[in-house]
This record gives sequence, C-alpha cells and structure tokens, in this order.
Amino acid sequence: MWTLIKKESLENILTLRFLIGFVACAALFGITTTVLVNDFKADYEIANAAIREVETQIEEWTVFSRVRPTVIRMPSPLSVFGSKNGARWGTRMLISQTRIPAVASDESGEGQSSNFLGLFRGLDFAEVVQICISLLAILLTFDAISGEKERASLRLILSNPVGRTKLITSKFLGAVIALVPIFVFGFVVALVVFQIFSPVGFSADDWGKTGLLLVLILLYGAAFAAIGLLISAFTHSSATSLAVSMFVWIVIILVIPNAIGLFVSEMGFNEDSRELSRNLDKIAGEHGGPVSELLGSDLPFRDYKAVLFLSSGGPRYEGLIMFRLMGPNAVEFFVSKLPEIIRDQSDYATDRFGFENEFLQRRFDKIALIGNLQRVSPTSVFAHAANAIAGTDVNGYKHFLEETKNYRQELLSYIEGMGGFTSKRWFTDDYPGGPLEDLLQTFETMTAGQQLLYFQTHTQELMDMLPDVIESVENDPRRKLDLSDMPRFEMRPISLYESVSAASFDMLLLVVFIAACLTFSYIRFLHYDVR
Amino acid sequence: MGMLTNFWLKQYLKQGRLVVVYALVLILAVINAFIYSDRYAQDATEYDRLARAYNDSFQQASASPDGMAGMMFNLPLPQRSLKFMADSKIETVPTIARVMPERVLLPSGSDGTGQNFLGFDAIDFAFIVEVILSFIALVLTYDAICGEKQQGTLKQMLANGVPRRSIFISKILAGVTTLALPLLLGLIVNLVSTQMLGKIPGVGQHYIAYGLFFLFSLLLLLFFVSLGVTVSALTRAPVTSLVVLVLLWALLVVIAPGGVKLVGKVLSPVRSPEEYQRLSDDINQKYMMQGIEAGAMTRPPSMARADNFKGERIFNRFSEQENGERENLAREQLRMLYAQAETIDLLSVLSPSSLYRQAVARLSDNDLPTLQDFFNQGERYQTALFSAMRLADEKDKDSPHLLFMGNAGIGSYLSTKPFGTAPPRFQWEEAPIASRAAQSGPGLLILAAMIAVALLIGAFAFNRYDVR
Repeated sequence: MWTLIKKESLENILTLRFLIGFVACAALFGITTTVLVNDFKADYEIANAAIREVETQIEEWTVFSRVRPTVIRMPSPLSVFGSKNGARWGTRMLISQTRIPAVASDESGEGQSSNFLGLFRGLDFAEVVQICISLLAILLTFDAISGEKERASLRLILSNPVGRTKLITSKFLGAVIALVPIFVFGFVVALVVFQIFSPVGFSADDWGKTGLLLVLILLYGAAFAAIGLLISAFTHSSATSLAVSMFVWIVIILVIPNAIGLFVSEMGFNEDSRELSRNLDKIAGEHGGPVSELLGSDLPFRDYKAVLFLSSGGPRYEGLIMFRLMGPNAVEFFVSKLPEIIRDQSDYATDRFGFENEFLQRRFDKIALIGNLQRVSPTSVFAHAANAIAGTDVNGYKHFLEETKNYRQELLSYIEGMGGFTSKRWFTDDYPGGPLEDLLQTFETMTAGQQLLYFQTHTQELMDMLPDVIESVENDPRRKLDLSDMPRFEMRPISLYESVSAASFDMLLLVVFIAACLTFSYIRFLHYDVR
Repeated sequence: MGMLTNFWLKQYLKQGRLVVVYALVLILAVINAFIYSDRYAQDATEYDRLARAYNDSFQQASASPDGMAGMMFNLPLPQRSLKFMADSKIETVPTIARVMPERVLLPSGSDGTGQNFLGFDAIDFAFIVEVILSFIALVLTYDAICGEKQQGTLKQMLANGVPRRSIFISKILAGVTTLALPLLLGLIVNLVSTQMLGKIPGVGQHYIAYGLFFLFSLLLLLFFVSLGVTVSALTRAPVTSLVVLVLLWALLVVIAPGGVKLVGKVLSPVRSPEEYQRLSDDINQKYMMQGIEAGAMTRPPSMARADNFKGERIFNRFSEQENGERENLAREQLRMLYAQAETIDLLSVLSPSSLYRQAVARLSDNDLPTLQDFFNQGERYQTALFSAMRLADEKDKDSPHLLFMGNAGIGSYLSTKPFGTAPPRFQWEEAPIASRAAQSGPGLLILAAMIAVALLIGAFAFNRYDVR
C-alpha cells in the first residue's frame, strides 16, 4: 500500500503541473501577502493614531457627561490571511451613557475612504488560496482513473494483486501528499514576507491559528482532489474528465458563491437603515421628558437649548456661561433633577439599543442565510472557516460588540464610583472665583442686554475674540477631571480554543464532503469498465 | 472552406454537453435581467431622493448670495441603465459631488464596506461571457488540431488536398459561431425580459448598446477560440493542450484581473483619508495662529460694522491664503486618487478579459471615466455658482464683500439681497453612446492585436505541424 502511495505521489511531483503549481503558488502567495501586509500596516497605524487621539481627548474632558471615548478595534495580524472586507467592517464604537453599543460608529456616517478602488475587482489572500489550491488539486486527480484507462495501464495494474480499494486510496493520498509541499512552501513564503514587513508579530495563539489554517488548506485541497477523483471515475477519457472537472470548478468557485450572495440581497432580506434612523428619531423625541418638564417650571430660565445642554453637552463654555447667567440657584436645581434625567437617558439607551439591535440581528440573519446557502460549495465552506480563524467574519464583529458592551458597563460603574451621576461635575466644571469669572464679565460688558440665545449662536465668535482669557480658562488645572485611572478599552483577543470551535463545523463539513466524494468514487470505481 | 466550417459547426452542435451550457447561459441571462431591473428601480428611487434633497436645499438657499454661501449641495450621479452589461459596482465608490462655494470639490460617499460583508461579485452579462463562454471556447477548441492528428483524420484531410489555411480558419469560424449562438440568444432573452419587466426604460441608445455589446463579446470569444486552436497546434496530445489552456485561462480570467488591483495599489499609493485630514488640519491650525496674532477676528455683523469690518478683513485675508493652500492639497489628493485608479485601469492591458470588461464598462457608462466626467461637471458647476454669487454680491453696495469668511462666518458677510438672475442649477449631461463606444476603441484594438498574435503563432505552428 505504502509503495503505491509513494509511487503515486512521486509521479505527481515529477510532472510539469506540479512545478508550475509550486512556483505559481509561492509567487502569488508572496505577492498577495506583500500588498496585504502594507494594508494591514496602514490600518494598524490608523488605529494607533485613533487611540492616541482618544488619550488626548481624555485629558481635555472637564465634565462627566462629556466622558464619551471612542474605542478602536485593533486590526489582528491574522486578518491578512482572511477576507479584506470583513477586516474593515465595524472598527470603532462610541461609548456613552446614552448608548448601548450595537451598530458600529463607523458604519452610520459618511464613508471615509473616498477612493475609486471599489471599481476594480480584487483578490485577497483567502481567494488566492481558494483558486490556486483547488485548481492544482483538480489538475492532479482529474485523470487518475480515466487517464490510466486511456493509457491502458489500469488493466495492467489490476491484473497484479492490487485491489481496487488500495488503488483508489493511494491515488487520493498520492495527490494530497503532492499538494502538501506546494501550499506549505507558499504559506511559508507568505509568513516570511509577513514577518519582515509587519509592525507586530504573532502571539502564541496566532501561531496556533496559523497551524489550524494550514490544516484547513489541506482539507480544502483534499476536497478538490476528491472531486477530481469522483469525476475521473465517471468518465472514460482524460480530456472529458478535465472539461467536466473545470466546468464543475467554475460553478463551485465562481458561480455559486456569487449567485447566492446576490440572490439573497435581491430577495428583500435587506436591512433598512433609513427605517432605523426614522425609529431613532422617534424615540429621541419621546425621551427628554424630565428636561421638558423643567421648561414648564417657574424658573427664571426658560431657554430650551440651555436645558437641553444637560442631555447633550453643547459647545465647550456655553453651558457654564448659561448657568452663571441663570442665577445662583440654577446649578443646585439641576443637581436635584439629575437622577431623573440620568434615568431617562438610560431608558433612552435601552430603547435605542432595541431598535439598533433588531436592525443588526436582521443583518446577521441575512449573513447567516447567505453563509448557509453558500455552504453548498466547498469553496465557501473554506472561506467561512478561514475567516473564522482569521477573525474577519461576523463572529469577530460580534465579539467586538460584546467587548464594547462590557467596557461600557465598566466605564459607567467607574463614573458612578467617582460620583459623576450625582454631582454637578456631570454638567459643569465651574467654581466660584475661577477664571471663568473674568470671561463672563468680559462677555457681559461686550454684549450687555442680549438674550441668552445670543450666547448660544455666537459663543465661538466671542471666544475667538478673547484668546488670552480662553487660554487661562483652558489651562486652569482645577477645571480638569482627573481621569488617569479611567478604565481603558482592551479587547480580549479571540483565543485559539474559540477559533477552533468557530471553524470546527466548517472543517467537519469539508471532511464529510471528502468522505462522500471518496465513497461515491469508490462505489463507481468498483463497477468501472477497465477495458 | 464554407463547407468545412459547416461541417465542424455541426460537429460542435451535436455535442450533448453544449445543451447544458446553452441552458446555463439563458438562465443566467434571465436572472441578470431580473436583478438589474430591480437594481435600476432601487437606484432610481435613491437618485430621486437625493435629487429632491438637492432641489429643496437649492430652493431654500437661492434667495441671496448670503443664503447660498452657508449651503452645501450634494450632487448625485443618476442611475445607470446599462449596468447589467458590466457592473463596476459604482455604488460602492464615491458617487456624490459635494459642492460648497468656497471649497474644492472632492468626491465623497459611502465606501460600501457594510454591504459587501461576504465579498461577492456581480453576475453581470460580462461575467457570462468572460467566465463561462470563454471557458467553453477553450473546451470546444482544445483538440482542434492535436485531436484530429490523434484520430488520424488530419492526415486524411491533407491528403485530399484541403489546404492547411482552410482547416485552420474554418476551425476558428466554427468555434466562434457555436458560441455566438448562445450569446445572441441570451442577449435577446435578456432584452425581452427587461422590456417585459418594464423597470428600465428602453430608449433608442439602448438597442445600439446591445448590438455593440454583442460585437465586443464576440471579439473576446474570438480571442479564446484562437487561443484554443493555437495551443492545440502547439501540442501533440489533447490532454496536454487542455491542461495548458486551463492554466492560461485561470491566469487570464481569474488571477490577472484581480491581481492588477493589488499591484496598482503598490505602484501608485495615495494618502489615507486620515492623513489627508491631518494635513488639512495642520494648514488650518497654521493660519489660525497667524491670523489671531495679526488681529483677525469674527464678530456678529452688527458689532463688526462699528469699525467697518477691520478684523474681519484681516481674517478674510488669512482665510483666502488658507483656502488656497487647502485647495492645492485637495487637488493633489484628487490627482493621486485618479492616478491610482488610472494605473489599475491601465494595467488591465495585461489580460484580454480585463480589456474586454473595461471596454464594456465604458459602453455601459458606469466606470472611472463616467465618474471623472461627473466630478468635472460638478467642479464646473461649482465655479459657475461661485462667480454668480460674487457678481451678485459686488452689485450690492451694502455688502462688506467678504467672500472667504470660512465655514462659520460666511453666511453673515455677503449680500442678503435677491439674485438679479437666478443662480445656475446642476444638470448632469450624459455622454452619448458614440463617444463612449469610441472610448472603448483603444482597448479593443489591443485585444484585436492579441488575437492577431495568437492567430499568427497558431498559423505558423500549424504550417509546420507534423501530422504523423
């Protein structure tokens, strides 16, 4: 048996196809990785810059209602080996008391990358593997049986004491063994390129995942070798086998994955972002009740915008000036109303989460539907497993959402611990005798007799006129919040165990697929007419 | 020769597996008609919404230069009716020109990453031709010469005095005709279903485009048929020929078109949006500091009138410089973006199938030149709008004529009197089909040259082919 396998694999290795495949794989894997590592490097630097920006923001915050950090999902080095689209999806999230993380912050706004690259088709690493390995595997086995028959050597072999079982097993294993050096070498080239250019190295788990990826590629190659074998057992000339194999290949690689994705999105499973924003507008109107009540109360201040400041946090000094102008009791009054307002805001957050989560679930359902239908094709099965391992699939995104939710809780209890929700530090950093007194006095003399609304519209302009006063306000240490021990976002990386369990279903599917193909080829081969 | 062509044509058509291919092409043609009719309707709704928003804000702002100055217009690109031929996924790239009177126009819009989570490509008609029919072309012709040799029929034919030239040419003609049939049928089925669905209006240009699309596709199929016959004349065994062809096909159809994007990104890098923003902020910061030192200020106009806008005039001077520098930056960015896209576009000469796709995308008017044309028109519109504002403002004696007041102030420093003549409105002019077809010319010429080279090599090899 072993002799037979050795003969088959050696025969495969000594062909021109093998040589072309070997060189082409190494070259393509290397080139693709070079480009993708560059992209990764850019993403990594952007993420780092964004994190630094958040740190500077933290130093500038003076009231707790303003503590709304944006958290960044650091790109994982393994994303180079996954699909490019997934890695870019949902990379930042705004954390605040009024919002439970659901739809990522970078999705709702205008797209940031204003370039024309979308016009051109591209390949990512997973696609290069999909195409190269499957093509090579089919080319190694398409004439395993029909070719031997055509050359009349099949009869010769079977006249010796070699069973059909042994023959077909060794044909299959011979092809798989011949595939191994091709993709292992290609992958090593890719890894070397990665290690040279990447700004960060692999962690121990990442190495484990890389190993898993290699096993996955092996299974994928074996699946296509089994398809080739199956077709060769059904045909009688090697040219026919090849034509049929390649047609099947096109359908599996190009037609099925494309058509299903397109179909599902055409069939009206689309999540409607406009409906979401309508709903969000509606609940924004329903909340803010406590604040509206204040408007109706018998107080010297009736300016709607001034009160709204409590929930939104307006331009930097506006609120402070408001409170000063409103009179001595204004701050105490708002502090007494704070619990009610905070509760209302939490309710708002829950309602908003309901709508956003529903929207998100619909999207996840759509993706799951597309994914499940696509699993007809082993290529898609491979893509799903590879993305699960690289963390560029929808589970990677869900993981990020969970982590941000946890972080929000952590941050809220931190603010609560600091007394943020119950003291005037929620909305003002003013204190008697502070540098704001000067600012206020200057403003008052400049704009004597104006309405509150006037400050609202011209604060920025007034500030521009008084650079010195503003500077002393900005640099006043007593205004600053000490947030040095504020928890920082740190995403727990997806562990090797989680990756294995996420990819295991798809890997199992591949194994089942291989087993089915082999069984059918075996049954067919038992009846194969060798003449 | 005609007889020979007929004979082989019948041979090809007799093959059972062709039925499968014909059926597949027809099914895909119908699916294509459904999907793209639907998509056209969606695009049209979206365009209507954006166009209405533009009209509304235009109405609101057109009362005076002052109103115009604070406004930002989003000019949308209209829906493209021929997207079904070659879908360049134009909706995933910037298709909105944002016009602000004192800013340089930069493309903006969604990058579409949210929609493409699974990264599938379009099943447009070019896909049917480029992937399926091109492959069938190779399957039909891989054994054109070496197969005949193997069966010994080649020797017979030559002995009967059939010239080699006739055999070679008739093989190619028969192959192309066999493929032209499903292509033509598919296109007719597609046209009929589209008309029956009635979502895309059928204008005269539409039918010309269908005709041109058929011709362009035929040219690509001719290339693959020539390739098949040529390789079969270069090899001895049909299997070798097919293996070589399959590898070539994967390279030309799958690897090369996707690979050029990777290469193009490295060859022609652009600044990331983040870096662009940083540079832009730096300029802003620089002039703000200088301006404050020089006494620049903005105040409510009622206060500013007291000293005849002295601080505002200084502010204006710095703003003008700042805008100039920012304009240069934006133009440089746009140039880099175009250069990158053009590099990738240019690299497509490496593969006949990319050349074909490029030509068809030109024809269906939803690719890079369309966008460039759109943004150029947007920029011309912006210039026209701005000069209309300037003209109206200068006529008003009461206005301080402070045109460059930057984002915050500008609304309050221009004339509030109505325009004498109405300011211009944006109207997108579509390129006529003749000029679009002409744009496809160079690519098609290169494709024709590739066909000629393949045929020459094939003819040369066949002339020296050992028929024994």
